[in-house]
Amino acid sequence: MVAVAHPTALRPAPAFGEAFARVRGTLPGARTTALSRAREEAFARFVRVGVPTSRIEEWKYTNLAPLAASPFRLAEPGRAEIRQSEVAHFRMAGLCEHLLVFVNGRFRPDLSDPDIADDGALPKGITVSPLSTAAEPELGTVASALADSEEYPALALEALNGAFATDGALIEIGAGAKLDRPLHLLFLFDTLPVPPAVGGAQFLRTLIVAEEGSEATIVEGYGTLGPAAPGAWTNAVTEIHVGRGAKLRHYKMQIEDHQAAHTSSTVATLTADAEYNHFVLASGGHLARQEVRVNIAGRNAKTNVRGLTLARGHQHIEHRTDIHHDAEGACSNQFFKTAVTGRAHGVFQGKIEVAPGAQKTDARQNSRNLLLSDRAVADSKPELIINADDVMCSHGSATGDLDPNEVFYLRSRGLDDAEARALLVEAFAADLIDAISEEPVRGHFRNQFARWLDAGLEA
Amino acid sequence: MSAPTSAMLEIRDLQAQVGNKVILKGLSLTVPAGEVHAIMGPNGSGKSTLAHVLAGREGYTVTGGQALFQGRDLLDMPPEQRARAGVFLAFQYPVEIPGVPNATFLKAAINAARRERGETELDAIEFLKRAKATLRKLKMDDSVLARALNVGFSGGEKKRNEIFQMAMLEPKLAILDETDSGLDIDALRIVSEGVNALRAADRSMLIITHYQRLLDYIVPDKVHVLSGGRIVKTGDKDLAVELERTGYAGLAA
Repeated sequence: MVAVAHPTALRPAPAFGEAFARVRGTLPGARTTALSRAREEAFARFVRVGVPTSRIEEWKYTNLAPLAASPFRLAEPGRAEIRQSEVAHFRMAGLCEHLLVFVNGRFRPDLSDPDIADDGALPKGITVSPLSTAAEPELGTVASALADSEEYPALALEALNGAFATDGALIEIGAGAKLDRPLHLLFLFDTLPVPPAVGGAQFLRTLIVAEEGSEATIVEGYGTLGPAAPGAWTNAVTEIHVGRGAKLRHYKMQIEDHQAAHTSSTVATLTADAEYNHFVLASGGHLARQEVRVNIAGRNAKTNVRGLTLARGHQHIEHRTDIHHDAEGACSNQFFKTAVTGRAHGVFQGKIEVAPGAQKTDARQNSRNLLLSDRAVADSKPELIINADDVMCSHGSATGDLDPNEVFYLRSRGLDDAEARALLVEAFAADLIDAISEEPVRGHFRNQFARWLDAGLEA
Repeated sequence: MSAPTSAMLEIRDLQAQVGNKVILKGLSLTVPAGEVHAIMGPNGSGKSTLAHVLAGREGYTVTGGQALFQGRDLLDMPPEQRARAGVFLAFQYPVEIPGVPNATFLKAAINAARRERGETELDAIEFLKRAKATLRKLKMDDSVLARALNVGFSGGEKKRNEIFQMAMLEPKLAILDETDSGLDIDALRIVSEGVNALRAADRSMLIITHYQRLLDYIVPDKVHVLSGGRIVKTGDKDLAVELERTGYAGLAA
């Protein structure tokens, strides 16, 4: 791999260009001039900026070189026949969700709620369309969002996503509309159709527009069907607009297999009085990086951005946040926890930026790391850029291991060492999971956490 | 090794150290089943070390001697095995554990012991029924169950919570390490009533205390004086009263 114009980036392998030339005529919106042009521009941007290296601050901890050098190809479609029972593992218990399933970057109506994309399946004023079957005006929205993207080395993978996105959900919550149940977007990677060494990449692009006074809960899930596949790469971008006074709760669960690569971004823009709550649990992937950027563009908006990393073995899992206060009187609260064992590496890079004039900002950030083995590593890097004088900003970070006094206390009551440690790790994460306000979603995350713990902490 | 014995706890010539500091220097003591024994002694005599060695805390090295629990080598068992076999230590300083609800923890502890004995596990309903009845006896509020383990508890509440756990776990041998410290007179009475209610023919207790006051409420069958890492004197309950009058000064090891 040869360095490009940016000394901080790697020139993408020719396979990227070859793949784009091969598939661009078949991508959603290929016949929509605006979108196909936006895709070409996005790809050109990606080629110009290259793949970021650790010399770009945002990518300091996550090494993409192996990904950039690996033979790039789009994932094959998933199996034609996938049993509901295979998907059940990733679903919320009970019939309490609206479900859209995508497999290997393609919408799967056979696994989704019947008629979910049709009028009448959802409460009035709410529409959901898969990108692959979206109509002209919706594709235009995607095109203009894509055309607005900045050319910036750190955003190279988002540009790549814009070029290649094969599917995703376009969601509109109309003014004043309320979604009755959580909408669950399930993005699965099926490794069974091809030999496990092959993998491939899937690109997903989701757009959520919550208009004035609306309210909704949306859950994004990422998981693997079939055995672990080292070449499998999921790249996802979710763009969100929260309108005046609208409330959006957005939960994300990334539980792909331990050999997968996952790079995703959530980019939210808040208008006045909007409320955006984000929680991400990440326990999947050999290399996983989840980024959340919130641009507070309206006064008195509120956002909570929280995350939990659970990593074992050789996993590298990173969360990066960037909360940009561009308007007065807004409140942001970040809280991230990382529990790492084995030789895993957990990273939290959290940024707060307060623009000049964003007075009365209240911005907080906190991270806690729990090291469960001698070889596990956790990095926390706060970054505060404050350009206004009448603000409250704070950050804190703490790293430690389990308290031997606590372990002994529990053992002295009859819990064995593994039970005691598991209970303490559960306690470490409890407040984050308990903060999920909707019971079915909370239960879903709690179950997933319990599954992670059941696999043992000594990995 | 040793023949079965009727003693609940038999300690023979126990020697233990923390780091290089020798603390127990040949301690011998026998507690028959159903008896309550008190261990008194000045600060630094090794009272808490004895409690921790019996419970299996890391950091204490046993360099000689034995401790047999119902004839079994206690010192060879990991802490959780001792607990499941029926040994309970009421901590002098109960640990606060944020995020772990009392009920979750206690139910796990009870079921660990039940599994060990081949009994069926308690379900949530049966557990709650027993827990609430026990709390009532100890004049404790049900809200304790949902609260995080000892978090935000006053000193007295923590000690009462230890006795609550003891009552729920129904140990064969209970070791109370300075349970009276930090208790006001009302709390002392409640805790003592709780302990007395648990006295039984098949349960023994070892009560470690600095002061005689607790023994007015929990009347022991025997009192041992620990000084310089050895038992230097053994008597009945009157020995505690005498010590209160004369102090430990006259009892050089």
